[in-house]
Amino acid sequence: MTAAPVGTAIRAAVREFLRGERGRGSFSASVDSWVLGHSPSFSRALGERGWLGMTWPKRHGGRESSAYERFVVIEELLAAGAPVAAHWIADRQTGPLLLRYGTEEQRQRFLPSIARGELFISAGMSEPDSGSDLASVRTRADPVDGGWKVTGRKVWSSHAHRSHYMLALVRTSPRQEDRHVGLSQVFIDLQAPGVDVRPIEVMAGEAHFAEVTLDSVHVPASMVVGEVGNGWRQVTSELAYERSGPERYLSTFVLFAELVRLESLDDRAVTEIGSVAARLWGLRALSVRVQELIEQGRAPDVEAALVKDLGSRLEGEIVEVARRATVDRTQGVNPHLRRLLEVAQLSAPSFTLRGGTVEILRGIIARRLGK
Amino acid sequence: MEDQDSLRSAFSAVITKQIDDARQEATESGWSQGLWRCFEEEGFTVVAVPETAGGSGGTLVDLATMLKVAGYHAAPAPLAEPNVAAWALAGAGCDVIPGPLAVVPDAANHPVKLSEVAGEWRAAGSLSAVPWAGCSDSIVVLAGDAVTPKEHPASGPLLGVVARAECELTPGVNLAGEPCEDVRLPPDGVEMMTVPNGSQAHPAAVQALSVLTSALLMTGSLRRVLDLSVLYARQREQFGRPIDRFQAVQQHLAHLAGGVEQAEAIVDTAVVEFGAELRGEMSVLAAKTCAAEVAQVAISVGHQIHGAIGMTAEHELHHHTRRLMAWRDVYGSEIRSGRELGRLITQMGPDALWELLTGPSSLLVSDGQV
Repeated sequence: MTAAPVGTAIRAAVREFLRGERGRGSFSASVDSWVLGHSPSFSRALGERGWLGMTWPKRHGGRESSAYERFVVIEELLAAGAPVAAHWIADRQTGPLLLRYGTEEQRQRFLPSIARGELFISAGMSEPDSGSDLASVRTRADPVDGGWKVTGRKVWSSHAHRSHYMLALVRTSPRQEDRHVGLSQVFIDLQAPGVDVRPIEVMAGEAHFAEVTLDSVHVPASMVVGEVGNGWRQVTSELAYERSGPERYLSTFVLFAELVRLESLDDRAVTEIGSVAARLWGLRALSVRVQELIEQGRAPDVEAALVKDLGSRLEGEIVEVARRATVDRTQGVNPHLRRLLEVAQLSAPSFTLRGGTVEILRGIIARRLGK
Repeated sequence: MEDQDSLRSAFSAVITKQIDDARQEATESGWSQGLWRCFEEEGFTVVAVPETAGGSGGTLVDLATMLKVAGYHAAPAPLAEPNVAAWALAGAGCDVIPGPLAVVPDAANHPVKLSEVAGEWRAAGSLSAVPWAGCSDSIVVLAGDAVTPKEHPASGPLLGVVARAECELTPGVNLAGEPCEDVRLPPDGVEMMTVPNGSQAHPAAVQALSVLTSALLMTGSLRRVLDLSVLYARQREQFGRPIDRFQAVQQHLAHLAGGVEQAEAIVDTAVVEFGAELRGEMSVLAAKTCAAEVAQVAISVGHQIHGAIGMTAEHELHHHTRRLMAWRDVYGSEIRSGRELGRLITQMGPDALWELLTGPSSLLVSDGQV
């Protein structure tokens, strides 16, 4: 409760900043801006204001802000459709992971640059044959003098072609009975010899995804995060951060905001807007609760899965509500709304896939119900 | 929130102790007078009324906790309406009236005529589908300027109390089998007193609180249907294993669990906002919309998980799913609340919508568990 005035002040500051940036034309609002809006200069501007790595220790470039303050900053940025994709993975999950499992040297090396919005990191989890079944990854790391030799392929690594490092989940010892044993997380320098990054164009016509091929890439021992063999546990803790945030229900908020602005909506559209708003309101309240659990040091993976399941479906429904309200109208719908709706429709199928498919998330939730 | 926890478990114990007898009684006569008497003796029917006005001196948050518990147990006696009626009476400066009370939050929703004779307002006509009217001693009726003549409006909201014995009732029940009658007011009408403007005894406020009570009852009921379904799926074996091992069943349960959490979150928000008189109306509309939408999920998933046994009168499930069917409709469905909310949002625009979603009350929400 004491967080309210603090949150209010920082919220006002972010809104002021966004007004200025919009005024300068530094960005135009986009749906899915945490995936599609890659802008190094915008990320640096956020870093200058101390809005990246906010919750981290000051000695690591952070501000030691509360989880709730960070929540306020990112929800304001997302609701405005601001381009936050460049630093997103590093700020959201790599930083917290390093604070939990990294060495002091790694923290010194990575965290301050991430917090300045200068160092971008891509997630290297999925592979061509490992999607939902992440434990089946086959990218191998074999021990060599001074480190590891990594060979394999990572896919759906967002913005790998625009990032400095990829944090990859790799197999450091052969597969055993328990598939979760023998996995590790390593930083791959995306400029290193043997690394080939190929952007993947998607149906919306852009290429935020990339495929990363690793051919005997040398990774120094100092670039292993946490314990060798502990990768599964680490990556699971990373997923709680990945799943619970406001980006899981605000990806299409800019479209919803434009829709709400429309004149002469029919009764059905108005009713559907009310229904969406009601659920959005509930979901946000739920998401704040999850932040409180994270702040208390708990790993609310089930609650996070729940927010993501509900949120990603609601994001998709906003697209359909906006479509139904506008599709047969010949006037009064501005080109900006039409454009947002087009991009949203072409992106929507990914909402319930990324960060764990709805089916996987529901499995996680169901297995823990009543226990 | 510790005091809410103890209130929750104490009230839950009161109902659990009597629920079997109460259900038996309700099977015969539509409701349980025994449970009602217990509610009244313990002061559970006047929770949010100051002690000076004959109430229990509790808060709306206390009342909310109790309604969730009553919903969880499908308590077959009126709790929401007597409390709303008492809250309205207290707001109008009246003392508590004994006996079960029914309430008509806004006569504008009924075929009622208001007229003034010699400086005194009277309401005449009919009230349709009044929850618990048949077992009430008195009915509290509120009216605003929507029903007084335009050329000659009342100086403020009006409130009247009519004894059920003076009215003519057409028997009726809601989908849960609870009393819900059409009421013909006495031919010479009901005397209506003028309530000071700004009092809580305003039709809009009483309507909002009534809508909120239906959402709260649903929230308890939703949690119960989820609990019953999870338990049943763990115990019921088919094809040689518990059915909760099947992914298709897990998908249903997780879908319902998400809805229940979401509904609880917005209903708790609405309780805080309504109590703090922040933006009571909009959050209440959101709460009703969300809870009623999830009610549909709970009805279908609950019965799908339980199979045919869940359809039987003997099984507990119908006590909950039938009430969900009744509560989602009462005081306006999710269609009406959604449309009203949508209208307000489109009028105020996206910036104000965002303000609404991110307002400070979200930090005050309790944990919402029954």
